[in-house]
Amino acid sequence: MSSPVEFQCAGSQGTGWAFGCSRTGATHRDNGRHCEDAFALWSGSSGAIPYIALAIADGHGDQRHDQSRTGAALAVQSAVDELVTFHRLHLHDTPPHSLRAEFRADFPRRVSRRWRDMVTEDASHRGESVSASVTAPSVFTRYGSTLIAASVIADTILLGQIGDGDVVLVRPDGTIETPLPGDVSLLGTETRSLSSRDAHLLWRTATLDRAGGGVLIAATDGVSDSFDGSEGPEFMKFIRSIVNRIDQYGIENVAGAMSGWLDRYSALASGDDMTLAFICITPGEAGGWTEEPPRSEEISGSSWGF
Amino acid sequence: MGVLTIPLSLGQRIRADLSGIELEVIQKLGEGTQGEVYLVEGPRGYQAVKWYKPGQATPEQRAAILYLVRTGPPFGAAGKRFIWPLDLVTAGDSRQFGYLMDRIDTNQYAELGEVWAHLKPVPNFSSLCEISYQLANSYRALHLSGHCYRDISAGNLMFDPVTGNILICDNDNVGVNLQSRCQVWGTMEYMAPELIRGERDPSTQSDLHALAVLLFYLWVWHHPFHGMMEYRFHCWDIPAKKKVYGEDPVFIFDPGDRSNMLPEDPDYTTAKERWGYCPEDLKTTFTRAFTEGLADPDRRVTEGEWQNLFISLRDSLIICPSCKAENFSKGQQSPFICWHCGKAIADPPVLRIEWPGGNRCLSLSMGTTIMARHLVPAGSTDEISGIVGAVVPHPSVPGAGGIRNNSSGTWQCIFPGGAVADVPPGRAVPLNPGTVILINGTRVTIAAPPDPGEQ
Repeated sequence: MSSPVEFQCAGSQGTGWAFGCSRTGATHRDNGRHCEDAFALWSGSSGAIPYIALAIADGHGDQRHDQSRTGAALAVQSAVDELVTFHRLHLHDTPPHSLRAEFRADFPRRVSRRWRDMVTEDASHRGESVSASVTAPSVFTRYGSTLIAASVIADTILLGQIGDGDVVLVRPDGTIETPLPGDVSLLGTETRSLSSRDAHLLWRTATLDRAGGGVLIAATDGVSDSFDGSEGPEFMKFIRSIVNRIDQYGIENVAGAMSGWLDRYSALASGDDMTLAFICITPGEAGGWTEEPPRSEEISGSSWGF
Repeated sequence: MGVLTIPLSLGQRIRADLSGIELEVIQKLGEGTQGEVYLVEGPRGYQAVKWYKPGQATPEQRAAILYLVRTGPPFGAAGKRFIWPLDLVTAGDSRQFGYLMDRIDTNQYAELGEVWAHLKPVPNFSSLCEISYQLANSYRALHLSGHCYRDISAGNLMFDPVTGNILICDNDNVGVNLQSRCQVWGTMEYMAPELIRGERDPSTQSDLHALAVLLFYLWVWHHPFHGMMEYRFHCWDIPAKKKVYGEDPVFIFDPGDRSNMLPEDPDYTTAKERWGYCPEDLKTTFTRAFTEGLADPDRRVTEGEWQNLFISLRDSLIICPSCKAENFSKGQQSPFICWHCGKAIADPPVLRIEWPGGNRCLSLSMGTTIMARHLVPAGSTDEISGIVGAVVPHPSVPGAGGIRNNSSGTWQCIFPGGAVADVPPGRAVPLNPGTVILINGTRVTIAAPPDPGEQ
């Protein structure tokens, strides 16, 4: 069984630094199952404006979703691809105040479609016949996954989520923001999914000011389930403790210890796969918007991991 | 380099300039494209402040806010739906500013995206008619006051999914039609083609296009131009958007041009289904808005037309006796099939309300309510609310029903045989065609269902 990959993504000083970690859950290890979570991080620049993108996904992982490990990997890839494309297409031609509205209008539809295209291609490579018609949803069900996507660009933080998991922004003054509302309509382990009907409508999106920066933390539900749920005080205490440790010991040390922490929480509590990724966002400046950016487009310093 | 955004801090005291009152910042409520919104407390209790980012806090925006504060919202019930700027707000020496407004109960009111994501209830047809009516009615009042909104979109609308009451937010971009400039032209998916092509500035005519797009989103949960053209664009960049929304817009259900029809893809299943649920009159009006109205702004569907359409649709709603699903009886051939359970529904009787200027028909099925606004001519109904009567089952005869007097006054009833009787509050009139009821001086008649061609 291949072990999950840890990856540390080096961003730029102008935007921030990102880190992600995915661990096979204790129950999954006991049963000889793979980790069905995935994460991807990307840092790059377009027209000399740097950005960081982050995505985490949680494959559903039961018999009906037997390809969900691949589905989660394709989900984070489609999210980062779409975020990078969005930046490149909109950064220079879209007024700042419209960028956020365009993200909310387009991202859910485009990323859901990109994921389905990737799933279709993967299924075809496996020799499965996939029809794009409405009568063939079962292939997508097999790849079912949640997805959380985030990016930091210029003065803006863009966020999108389908399904469960948590996104929390801890500001430098310790204020915790949970910009994406939880889905209270679902019970127990039910979740929305990229494979759900009307997936493009099921997204929750938010846009935040980068302002003074902070630490943006995204985690699959295995993490909060090891505490007292998404809005529980113990989980919030854990979130604060991560930020405190980053402040005290630095990103590298926290990154180095993260896999051990997650393994312990999984063993002691949820037993589920766990993925946690964060971006330490440097305080923003409005320079990217107020000054005319160079027209030449380049992607540099980019890196991948999932 | 640019100017760093300085948000308000909790506990900070800010000042409403025109009224001179002091406000304390209680908490941040959210962020928008132009600034942040804070909960504040002052002499009038809890209110909200939109605080502009430095790039948006321009002298022009300041002047626009002061103009809107002094002008006030449109009159009547329509005006009360606008979360209007109440005062200019400043903080010490900061060059940033904001405006004071009423706060919104986000537990009661929903955004369309929250409904799509199943975070808030889906409005039923009755609520959808009310939301749509109030939207058209509100923008009609705004336009009649000489203003245009310039940024109509789902992001600026909040509605109560149960009652259909609406609130229109972000009114700081409202300006004098064809005169004042603004910083925001809306998102491209709501922009009229002539704006995207750079031929005209925002106006009440471009508002009409955006209103039609918003109504389409409310009913079909889809953009009217997102068909094969958008589907085939792998790169959804600005030139692609300009083509789909501005240079070559084609309605996805255009009966005369199938080039942009919906693809066979699961993404479009809901749009097809919801379009199928739309009554024919609504489909016809959407088709006109997105065909004739695209090329010629003068031929766009007006707010008054939308308003009258949604009133008549709401009045034609009946409940399926078998499954209790709402059905539009307007324009249906008799008997018609319930969209939900597939069973035949017998034509319901109607309440014909007679005025000197014309009649109005209200379909009567179990649960139908007769509102006070039904009893006055359309267009004068804004300030009138309250239930006057309701169709209820007979207490002992299965299948029979009557109109119960829920008002505080006594009705006079003339039965088909000529007998006259008083109907005090709490009593009901049987649903017998030919029965005439006088309600507060308004003459209404229970009638057999009209021929669809006469509606």
